[in-house]
Amino acid sequence: MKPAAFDYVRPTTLDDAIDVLTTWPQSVILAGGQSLVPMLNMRLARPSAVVDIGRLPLREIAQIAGGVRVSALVTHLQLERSADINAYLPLLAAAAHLIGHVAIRSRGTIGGSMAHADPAAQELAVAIALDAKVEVTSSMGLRQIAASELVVGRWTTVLEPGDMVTAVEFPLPPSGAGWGIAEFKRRTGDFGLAGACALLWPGGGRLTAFGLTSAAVRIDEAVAAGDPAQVAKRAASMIELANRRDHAWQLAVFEAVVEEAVEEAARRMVT
Amino acid sequence: MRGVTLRCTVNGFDQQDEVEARLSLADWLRDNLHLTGTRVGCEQGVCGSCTILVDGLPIRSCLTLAVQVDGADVRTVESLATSDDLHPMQRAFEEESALQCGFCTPGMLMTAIFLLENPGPISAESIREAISGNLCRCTGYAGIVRAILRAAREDVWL
Repeated sequence: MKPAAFDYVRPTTLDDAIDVLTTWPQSVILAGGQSLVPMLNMRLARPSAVVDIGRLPLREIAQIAGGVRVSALVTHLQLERSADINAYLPLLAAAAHLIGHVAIRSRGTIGGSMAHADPAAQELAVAIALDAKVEVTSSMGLRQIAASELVVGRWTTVLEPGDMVTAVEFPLPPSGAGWGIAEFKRRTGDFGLAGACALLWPGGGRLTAFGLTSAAVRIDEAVAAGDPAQVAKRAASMIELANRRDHAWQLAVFEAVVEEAVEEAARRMVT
Repeated sequence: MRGVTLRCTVNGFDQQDEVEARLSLADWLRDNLHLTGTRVGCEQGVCGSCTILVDGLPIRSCLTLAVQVDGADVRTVESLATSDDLHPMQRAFEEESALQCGFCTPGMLMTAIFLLENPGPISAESIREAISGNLCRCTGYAGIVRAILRAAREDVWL
């Protein structure tokens, strides 16, 4: 369980990093390494070159008009502990806290989580729930991709060789909105088997399912079903699983986490 | 460019080495520096036995390349005891029988030290959450939780 040999570069400026990625399209980006390094160790990934972006100045959490901008190398632990995130977007802090264990959160980054696109990724689910924009830099310059359009499937995104996720911009939910996020896993730190992120405000709301399907999916219509138990039933009926018969238990678990997330959101809603 | 220069401090001492980029931090500590207190279990981030502190934060040294700690401050289990004395956390582990085979112990100790060196409520529940990323196959965790609670009562942490 040792990685195959690779070339290694550690650029210190964004321009240099983009140059390297453009010159070596077969390279992979190393940020926190909490998904990439296990894949290297198991030789599921055998890149010819690794571009370590750990020295780039991408560690900022900033307020922007109507939202928060989180640079790509901000770690899950930083998000969880950030006074600004806890004040303005506590949903994101709560999502970050659900990830792995503290020794994973101390190194794993938000940009890496977006680019890796695990079906159970909590911060990606929040990005999709909030209509966040993922900022991508390449030799062509900077562009923004809606979080819901970033992911095309399990561990698969629209990102091309030479692209680097450099930030995520989260719009704040409507004022007074309550939020809740819940997931089920057999052991603390595992990948969630079913997760739900709820936002509720007077007269409306949103619901996002994650961990069940190949990518997190918005099922906002379920919110109109009524009380939390009814929302959960409706939500489960809206999820298309590849093999419903084997995964009936997963839908049952999903119902329970939806109910929990919606109850939390209702409790936090300011009416 | 396969050999990379690595400079950092380990347990207070400056270190410099030429390493392959693919070398894990755990293997560098064990094989190059002969600091074999850090254990390597699963090599995929699940078991927690390789947990050490880098710049004060717990990390998995099997999921970190050695070259990634260039410039950082690294603390391993060897930093704890002096030649005369065990560290208060080690003493508490001994007193509460918090180890049997000892394989998970270095990772448990470093995780526990991070917990107590940072502000926040200390309870059996917060301890259980903190060590949830460290697997122990011998003790059933009860002694470990008691040991960390015992160590927390000593006035040496914040």
